[in-house]
Amino acid sequence: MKKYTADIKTWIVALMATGSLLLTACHKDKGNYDYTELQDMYVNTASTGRAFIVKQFDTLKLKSNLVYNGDRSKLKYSWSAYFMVPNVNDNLADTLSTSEDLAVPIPYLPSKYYLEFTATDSTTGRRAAVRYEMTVESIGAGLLVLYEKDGKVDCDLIKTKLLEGLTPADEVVRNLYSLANPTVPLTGDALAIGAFNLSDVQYISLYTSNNGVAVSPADMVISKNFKDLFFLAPNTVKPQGYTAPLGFLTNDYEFSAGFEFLVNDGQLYSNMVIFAFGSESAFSLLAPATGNYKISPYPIFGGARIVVYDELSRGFLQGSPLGTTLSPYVSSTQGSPPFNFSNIGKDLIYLSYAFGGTYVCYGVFKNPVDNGARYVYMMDFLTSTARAVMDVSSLPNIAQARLFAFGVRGPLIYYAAGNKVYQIVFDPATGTASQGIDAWPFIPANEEITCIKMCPHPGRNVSESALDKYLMVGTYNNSTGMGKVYMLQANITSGTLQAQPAAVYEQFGKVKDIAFKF
Amino acid sequence: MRFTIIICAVLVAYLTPGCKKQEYLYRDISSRIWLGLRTSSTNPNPFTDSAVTTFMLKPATAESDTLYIAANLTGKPAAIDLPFVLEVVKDSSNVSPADYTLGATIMPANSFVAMIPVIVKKNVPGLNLKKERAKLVFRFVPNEYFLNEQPNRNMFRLAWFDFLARPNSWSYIELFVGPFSQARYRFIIDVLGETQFDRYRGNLNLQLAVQASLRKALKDYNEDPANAGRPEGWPYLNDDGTPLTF
Repeated sequence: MKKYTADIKTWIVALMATGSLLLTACHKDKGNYDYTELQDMYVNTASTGRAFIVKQFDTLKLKSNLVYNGDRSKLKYSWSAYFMVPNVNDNLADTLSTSEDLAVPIPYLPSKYYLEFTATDSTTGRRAAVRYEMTVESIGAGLLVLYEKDGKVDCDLIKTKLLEGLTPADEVVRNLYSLANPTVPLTGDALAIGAFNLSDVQYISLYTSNNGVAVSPADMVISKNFKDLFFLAPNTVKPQGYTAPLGFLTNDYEFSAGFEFLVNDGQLYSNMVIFAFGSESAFSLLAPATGNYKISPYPIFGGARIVVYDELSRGFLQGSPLGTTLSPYVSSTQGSPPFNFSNIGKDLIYLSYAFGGTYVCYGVFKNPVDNGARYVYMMDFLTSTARAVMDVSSLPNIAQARLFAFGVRGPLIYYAAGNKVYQIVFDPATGTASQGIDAWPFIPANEEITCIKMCPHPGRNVSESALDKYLMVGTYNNSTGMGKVYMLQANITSGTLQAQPAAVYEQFGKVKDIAFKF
Repeated sequence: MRFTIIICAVLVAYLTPGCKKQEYLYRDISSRIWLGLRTSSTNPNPFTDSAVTTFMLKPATAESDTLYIAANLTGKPAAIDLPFVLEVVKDSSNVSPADYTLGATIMPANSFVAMIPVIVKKNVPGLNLKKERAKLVFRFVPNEYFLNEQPNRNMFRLAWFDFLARPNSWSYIELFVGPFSQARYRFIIDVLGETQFDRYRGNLNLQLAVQASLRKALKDYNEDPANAGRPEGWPYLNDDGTPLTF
């Protein structure tokens, strides 16, 4: 076999050929493209900053401040929010808006969030983004106002310096319920609202003539639907009265007394939350062992007993907080004139706590047999003592009155008819009414009074107690479809209402109930 | 050439075992099994070592029901299904193999728990399940894959019958509904749909609610003439033939 060997010339030629091939790698690639100048695309946060605080349910308005000279019609926008500190159980990631500028209510729980804005060119994928730090603060304490508007029931929160001295300025947080529960509207006639607060058990209850819900006070989202409020839900949904006494019964105004009562379709349901010891609780039926009955919408906790009025027998029934049945309430008959709780014989119009003792109540009755004469019965449910009966039939417009409010710190009785608020001047010792006076003749003629209530809470950080200091008057203007809340300052001794309202809040619907939110 | 042939033959001889189906030879001596169902997701104790069913709470047409034996793995789970062995403890059982069907006793791959179904029959020859219980006790038997975890956790008891038995949680409502009876339990099940009462423990609110609800339901039943002639009685009768009360 012949061995092949290359000479030096061949080697040199081979090396040069290889070198020339490698040198092409050093050639600058000028490409074959059409370059165009990119438009600026960024978010200018110089004027807005990157962190802000917003109140829960407030409408957050934020301009995108997007700097972009290209075709904005090709841009897609996104505003999204998520927890700064992810929560394993509830790692919120929510798209708030797809508009360029943000203008939406913030329904999130009080916490810290990242709010992220993104603008993306849908043709090129190019995008600009900015991340803000958003702190959502609680709406805090105030007056919950339940009202009807546009065929629906909703509630607002009045944050007022009259009740919370640290409130920087009065404001009304709107549409709390509907914002948090947009797909579950409440309809029917607005009935009652209450904020329940017993240690860790906290909820807000809203009742209408055809529904009832409990919502979380933190975000107003429904925590219990109507049937979930009960141990065994009734077949008929017809709420008629709701009461959740405040802790004023034990001089602790920041908490509920520990129980609540609901009258539904003429039957009493009690929820002794305090006996659940922080666990699950529910309304359960409290009924007479035998016979027909129809419970009036004004249940009362009378110390060691639950007290209700039976519209059929026209007498009071009582039940033990640790019991499950109601029985006729036989009382002392030492009143003037004497009467027995189990045999009033009249139709109850209104019943509530009043002046004269922790469990003293006044009941406004209509006599069904003598041209509908009106009476105020004074009763002490703690001692089961009948105190007095006042004939108030001659007072102005009393026959038209359906709304009443009683003071517990002073001898105050107000009633309303049309656009008038009247005060009953009376002697609680003798149970005699001297006159009924037009107590605040300043409500315009085109407004109808739809709710009156004494302020049930002493307030926070206020110089003197707000309890019974304010008569809260809700009104409705049928022509405008709008309602107001007047805060009228009352003299706790004489009951005189100051001519100048302490505050007036507007833009509600037909106001039907007002309650203090903790 | 001859050398090449020899080399190829040797290589083929080495490669041939690769065609044999692999047999796992798995034995982790730390793998153990114990029988019992944990009743808490956060606490390894307590657990239950039994399962019970009553055909009284099943549709009348049901001829069988399925109970489950919980087998728990302690140690490293295997990447493949592995069988384990359960044997019947005859001294503690009163049924025959024809009265039940035991499912496959396999610890699934990468699993710490196996739920073994046992289909039990409503009709057990020789036993009147209206009055007595069918009992079937299994014991875990170590095999080449699993050792026994603890001697006191190697048995699982099954029982089935056709009457209402007092649930342990009855004590949480007894003060408010009365002592256990078949009729009382039946009425509660019909009204509330509940067979266990653990949620009432220490909750006076619910205890009062259950009493009030049952009193109302019994009153409604006893006041409705349409209930005349029903087997429960009208008024509703307790086991001893007296009117039921709450």
